[in-house]
Amino acid sequence: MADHDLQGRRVLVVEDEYMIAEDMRATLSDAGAQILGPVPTVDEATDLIDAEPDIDAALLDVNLRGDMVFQVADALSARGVPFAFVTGYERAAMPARFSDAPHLEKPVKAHQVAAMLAPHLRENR
Amino acid sequence: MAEHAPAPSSAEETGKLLDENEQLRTALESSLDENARLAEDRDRLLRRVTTLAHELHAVTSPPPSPPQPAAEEVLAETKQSQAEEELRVAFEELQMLTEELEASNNSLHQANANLETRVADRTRELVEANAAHSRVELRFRTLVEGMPQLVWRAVEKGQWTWSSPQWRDYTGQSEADSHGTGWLSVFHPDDREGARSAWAQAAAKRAFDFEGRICHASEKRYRHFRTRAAAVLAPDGNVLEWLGTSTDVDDTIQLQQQQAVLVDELQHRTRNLVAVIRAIMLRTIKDSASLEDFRRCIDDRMQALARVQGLLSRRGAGRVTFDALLRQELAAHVDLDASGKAPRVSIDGPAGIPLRSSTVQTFALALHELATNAVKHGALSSPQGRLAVRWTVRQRDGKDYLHVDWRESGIANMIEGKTSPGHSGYGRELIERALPYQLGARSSFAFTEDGIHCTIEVLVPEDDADREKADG
Repeated sequence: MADHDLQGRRVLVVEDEYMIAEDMRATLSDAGAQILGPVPTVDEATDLIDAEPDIDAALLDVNLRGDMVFQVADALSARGVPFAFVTGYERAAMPARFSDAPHLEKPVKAHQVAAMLAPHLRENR
Repeated sequence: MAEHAPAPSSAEETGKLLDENEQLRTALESSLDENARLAEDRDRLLRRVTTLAHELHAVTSPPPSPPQPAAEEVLAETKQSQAEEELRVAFEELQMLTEELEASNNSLHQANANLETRVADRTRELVEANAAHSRVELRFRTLVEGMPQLVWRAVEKGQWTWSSPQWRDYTGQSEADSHGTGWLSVFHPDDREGARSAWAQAAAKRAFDFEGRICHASEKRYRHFRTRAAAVLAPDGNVLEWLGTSTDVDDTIQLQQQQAVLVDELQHRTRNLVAVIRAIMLRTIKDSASLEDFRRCIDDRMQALARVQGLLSRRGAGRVTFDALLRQELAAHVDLDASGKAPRVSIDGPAGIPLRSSTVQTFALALHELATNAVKHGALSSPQGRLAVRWTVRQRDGKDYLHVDWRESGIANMIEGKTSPGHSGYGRELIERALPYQLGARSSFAFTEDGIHCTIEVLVPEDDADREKADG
């Protein structure tokens, strides 16, 4: 079962809509992941990343109360943490440096996150 | 506007006049030639008559001399009569020639008179045609200079030969500086290559069409222009020149971009809404004891969501206000009168306190849970119960906060397990966790001895349109 790939994985959730954040928490927890957050703002996400040495993956809503999530994505890139944008935004609206980042549509499914993590797990072996 | 092609009707008129003038000139020249020839003939004859007269005179008055012999006299007489005859013929010829010359002179006079009349006629026609041409030119100039487009003329490869006053007014570039490829310098540097390549293809396509930014001299910024040109073709199909216009399409492009942003935003909101509905549904399933229980509860929550979508879509340019949201949510559960009052319910606070759009939906769901629990289990479930909602605006750290106080009373025995655990639990969760998470709100929720007491404090947005756009 693909969901088992999330067993024990530490997944950061950045999403400003409470109900969607809670839904993601429930979905990923059911698949065995440990949720970091969820957090609703760029500042809180940045603080959490600084304070948390062990992050396996991150899911990022793009528009957080009017602020773009891109500086959070940059911080994750710098640490080599795989992340995906979770959004209804068109890919064209994204800065070019994130053209390779995966996009997931809401609601996020656990196997999508597992698939996103898989190549990184092989690299780390 | 010193030079441009005259109107076609005027060109035809001018051609006709030139033809006619040429005909008259030719006629006059041949008359003059004829006259000259006649004059020459007459001069020749006059010389001849003079010679003959001299000869005759010599014959008829010989110098005194010795008497001549008779034979010589006869000979002299014969000579004299011959000379007289010749002179007579010459005179007759001269007479005829003079008559001919007179006739020719007369006809020449007539021709001259005709010519003068016709020249006068043609001159008048020419003056009229010129006046008409001037009117056409004035109309043409007024049209060219009055149209919002920047107008110009060019020869092959985009070499401009003329630009309209609008071009100078808009770009600040003089007409002379626009000539050749001078016009390129007022285009955005990133668009110049595009303009060059459009010209490179223009001759083959017989059309020039290009979109690029032109610098507005007084605004000191680039605006988008649609620049097009049509080829003026000679009868043999060759391009004589290009007539072009540059049209300001900046506003249209801005509107298109705004529209694209709005469509993106709408898609974003729609996806979010579907995700929210899904989350509420899953949560309601978890909390429902039976399918009937689920049906009632999900129906209430979907209706609350629908009401707040209606409020958001009707707001137009303004923000949703707290009093409007509260009244709408209460009205769904109790009968409010026109002033927003109901028995056992009192509401009190300033009207028109704006809410951030991104917070309205969660705020509405929280109020819905409070109201529905009050009706089912709380203050509005018994005749003794009372509900008082009061709100004020308080200042903290130089910012305005909306402070809401929801107080139920008269239901002392509702504490401890008298509530339906699931549903009131969701209302409490929304207030204690969702509002702080999503709205950055400070909130409290308590079962007091008298009933539920809940407070919510959220930041009042500054009225800033950009922010409103950003937070949707």
